[in-house]
Amino acid sequence: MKFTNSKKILALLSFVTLITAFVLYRAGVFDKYLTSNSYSIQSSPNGGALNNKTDTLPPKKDTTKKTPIMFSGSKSGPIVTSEDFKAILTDSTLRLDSLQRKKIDSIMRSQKKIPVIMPSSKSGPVFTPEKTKDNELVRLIKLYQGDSAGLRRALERYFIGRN
Amino acid sequence: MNLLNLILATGASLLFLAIVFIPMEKMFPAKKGQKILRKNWFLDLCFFLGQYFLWSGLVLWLLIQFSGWLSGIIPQNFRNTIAAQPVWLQAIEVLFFSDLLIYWGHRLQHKVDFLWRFHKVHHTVEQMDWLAAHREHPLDSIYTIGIINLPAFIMGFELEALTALVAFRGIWAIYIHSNVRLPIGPLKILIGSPELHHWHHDVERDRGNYANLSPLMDKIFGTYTCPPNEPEKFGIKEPMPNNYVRQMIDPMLPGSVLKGSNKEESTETLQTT
Ligand SMILES: [Zn+2]
Ligand SMILES: [Zn+2]
Repeated sequence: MKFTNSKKILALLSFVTLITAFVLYRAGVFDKYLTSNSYSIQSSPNGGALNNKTDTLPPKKDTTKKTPIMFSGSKSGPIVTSEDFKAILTDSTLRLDSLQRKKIDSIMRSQKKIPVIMPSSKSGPVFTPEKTKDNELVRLIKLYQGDSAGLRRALERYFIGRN
Repeated sequence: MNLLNLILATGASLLFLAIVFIPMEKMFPAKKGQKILRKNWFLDLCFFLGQYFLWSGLVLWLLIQFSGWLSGIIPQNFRNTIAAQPVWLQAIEVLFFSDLLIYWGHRLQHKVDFLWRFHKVHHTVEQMDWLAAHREHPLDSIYTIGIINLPAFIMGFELEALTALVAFRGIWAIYIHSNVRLPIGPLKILIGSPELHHWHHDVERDRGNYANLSPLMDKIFGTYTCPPNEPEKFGIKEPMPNNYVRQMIDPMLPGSVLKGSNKEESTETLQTT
């Protein structure tokens, strides 16, 4: 009897914990843990990852309103405005080759904003697919939200670290 | 969209739901002795997979088009007036009106034969559990999700401010279908529970409990029902094949099977696999 009761309590505890965790996850509470603020770049030839302190500084928020934000994560807000995006891709001073520009282009396009909608009254999607496999690059783009100059520098370093 | 990511997300969702609900169904069963792999579990798995792989993307796309079309015809003055209100008030308005609309929208589905032919797919479930919640015709999804989101679309309210509530609503909708009976006391007036929604799935088409997250609308409009026991039989009185493709196609055919008739035929007679 005691054993059954403790199993019931355990089931109830796990139910409440999992539902709470799920709701918090969808609300983006864990984003700061899942999306590291201090991204690492491979800048050492022997593969050692370095944390560049200057890159971890939170970018200054751009308070000026720009035309429709076209990219966003599934849980968080705007990432890069269309102006930033165009400017980055057409900036000839950026040391990026055409393949790298293409990669940035496709990743940014895949990050199109998906509006939050209320689910059906019968069920709702639990997890939705990640937009891209290159999470490090997405993290970078999120980190430099609103700071296109910082993003340019970080993108250069990101690709140089990979060459 | 990367197919592998989609497969991983679908698998993770299935696993997560199983971990959340199976222990509850084992410890607090509404119908004792019901197996996890009960009758027609594979049919519901098909609905689950169909929803993740085929329909949710299509429904989302249609809704985005619909909201874009709506924003073009709603007077900007109206939206400016709404936007001038505090966000918390807008949120309450959106939730109240979406609950009100979905209550009447759902009640209509049970009343009007044309709507019932799509909605009855959801009601063909004969053994309730968390997986059965996913048995829903995509046209029913479009109708339901469209109605629930209509107030937000009209008011131009971005639901991102309510992500936690939207997530809770989604998972709670699955919970109320689970094979669980766990009385929550006076809270059941505020929040829906399996004991209420199971009665909605009673074999009688007009049993009541049409509200979504909160049963308040049922209380207000007199359709609240909560007998102390579980319903004897879930399902519908009309014949409907227990086959995914047929349940997708039949409601769209003009003809006998999909007519919202009340023939007292057993679904057993038309079972196919
Ligand atoms: Zn239901
Ligand atoms: Zn119904």
